[in-house]
Amino acid sequence: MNMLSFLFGAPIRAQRAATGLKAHKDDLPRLQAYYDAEIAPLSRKFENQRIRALKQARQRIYLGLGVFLALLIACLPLIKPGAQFVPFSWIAAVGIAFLIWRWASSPMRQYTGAVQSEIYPRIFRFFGPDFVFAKGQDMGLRMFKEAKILPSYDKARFDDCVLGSYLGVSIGINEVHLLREERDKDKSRDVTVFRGLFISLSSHKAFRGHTVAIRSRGSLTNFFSDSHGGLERVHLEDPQFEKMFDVFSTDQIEARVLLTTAFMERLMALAQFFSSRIQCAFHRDRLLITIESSQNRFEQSSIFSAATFEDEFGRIHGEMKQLFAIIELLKLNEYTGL
Amino acid sequence: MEGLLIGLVLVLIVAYLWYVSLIKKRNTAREALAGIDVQLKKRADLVPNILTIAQKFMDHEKSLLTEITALRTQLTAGYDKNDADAVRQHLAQADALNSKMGQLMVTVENYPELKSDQTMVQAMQTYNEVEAHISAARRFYNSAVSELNTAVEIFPGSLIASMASVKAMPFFEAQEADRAPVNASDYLK
Repeated sequence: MNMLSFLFGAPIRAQRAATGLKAHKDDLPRLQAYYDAEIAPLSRKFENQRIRALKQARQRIYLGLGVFLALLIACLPLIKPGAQFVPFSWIAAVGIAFLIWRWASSPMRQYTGAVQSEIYPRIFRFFGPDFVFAKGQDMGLRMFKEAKILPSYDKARFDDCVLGSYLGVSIGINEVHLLREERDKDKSRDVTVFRGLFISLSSHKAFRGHTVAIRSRGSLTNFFSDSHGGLERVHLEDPQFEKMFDVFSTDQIEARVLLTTAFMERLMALAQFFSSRIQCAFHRDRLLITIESSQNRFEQSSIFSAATFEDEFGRIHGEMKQLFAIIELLKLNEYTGL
Repeated sequence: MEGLLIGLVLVLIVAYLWYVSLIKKRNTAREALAGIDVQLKKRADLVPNILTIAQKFMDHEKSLLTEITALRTQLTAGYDKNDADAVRQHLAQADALNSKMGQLMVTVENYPELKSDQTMVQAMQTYNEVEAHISAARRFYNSAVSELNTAVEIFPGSLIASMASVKAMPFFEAQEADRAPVNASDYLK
C-alpha cells in the first residue's frame, strides 16, 4: 500500500508474517535472539496500533474532506458574481485545509511517535546497556564547527540523538538540519546547507594535529589553493580516495598515521554504505564525521509497512557495525605512551 | 629594445619563482626527513625500556638483544643530511633495527610470562604506535622526495637546480629481506 492507494480506499489489513532479519551470517544468531526476546513481543501490539491509526486517519480524512467541501459550498452564495476571489479567502482555505490535515493525520503521528519512544531505545540497547535514544537533543555543534567540516549556516535544528559507548569509546550520533538565510531583494528565505548525521567518536589519546578529509573540491580549486582553513594539503597515495576526498592537516605525519590505506578503504565503504557524502575530522580528542542524507534515519521507513521492525533493526545494526569497525581500526580505545 | 627588456624581466621572474619552488620542495623533503628522525628518536628512546623488560625473561636471546643494542647505537650516531649516500645508509639502518625489533616481538610470543607482563604490553602498544608513525613519516618523506626529484630532473628545473646546488634525494625503499615472499608454512608449523 502507498499513500495514493490508501486515500482511494485500499483494504487495510494486518501483516504479521516476519520477512526475516538481514545481517551477516555470523551476526544473525545473536541478532535474532535479541529480536525474538526484546522486539518481536512488541511487534503484535504495534501492528494493531498501526492498523487502528490507519483506519482512524482514513475516516478522519474522508470526514475532513466532507467538512471542507461543505464549507466551500456554504461560502459560495457569499461570493458576488464577477467579484474577485480575494487573497484572504485563499489563505483561509489553505489554513482550514491544513488544520483538517493535522487533525486527520494525528493518529499516524501518534503511532510513529510511539514507535520512536518504545522501539528505537530497545534497538539501540542491543549495542550496550549505556545506549540511550532521545529526541531533539543537541550533541554539541561547536566541536564540528571548530573542526572545519561544516558549511556556513545561520540556523540549526536538531532531531534524534543517540549516545552510547563501544570498547570504552563514547559515541554520539545526532540528526541535524542546517539552514542558511539568503536574501533575495526584500525577501529572505532559509536554504538547507546540510541535512544528515553528525557522529562523534572520542579517542583515549588526543590528536597532536588537526586533520580533515572533506569531499573533493575539484582540481581547479586545488590548483589555486592548497589549503583549507589554515590547514595544508596532504597528498595521499590512493587515487580512488583522492578522487573522492581532499585531505588537509596541520601535521603531515599524523595525517598519514590516521589515513592508512585500511582507513581510507573504510571511509569509502562508509560513504558507499550510507550512499552519502561524508566528511571527517580528527580534532583534539575526537573523530568527527558528517554524513549528508535526506533520509530520516530513526523512524519507521513507512507506516504502510508491517510493524515487524526487522528492516530497521537490521539497517541500524549494519550502520553501527561500520562505526565499530572504525573504532577498532583506529584503536581509539587504546592508551599508549605517546 | 623595450620588448626585450620586458621579456628578460619576465624570464628572470619565472626563473626566480621556479627557484623558490625548488627550494620549498627541498625544504619539505628535509622536513619530512626530520620527521622520520623524530620518530626514530622516539623509537630509540623506547628500545632500552623494552630490552630491560625483556632481559629479565629472555635468557636464550642474548645475541638478538645485543644486535638490537648495537643497531640502536649506530642509528643514534648522526649523519650528514645533505649527503644522499649518508641518508640512504641511515634509512637502511633504521629499517634493519625495525626488522630486528620485529623479530624480538615475535620471540616475545614464546615467553608467556613476558607476553602478559603489563609493562611489556604497554611498551609493545607504544612501540607499535611509533612504528605506525615511522611508516607514516616515510610515506610523507617519499611523497616530498617524489615532488622534489621530479622538479629537479625535468628541464628547466634541472638547470636551475644545478645552479642552486639542489640535488635529488634518495627514496626510502624496502630492504631486500622485506621484499622476499613470505612462506606461510614457516609460520604454520
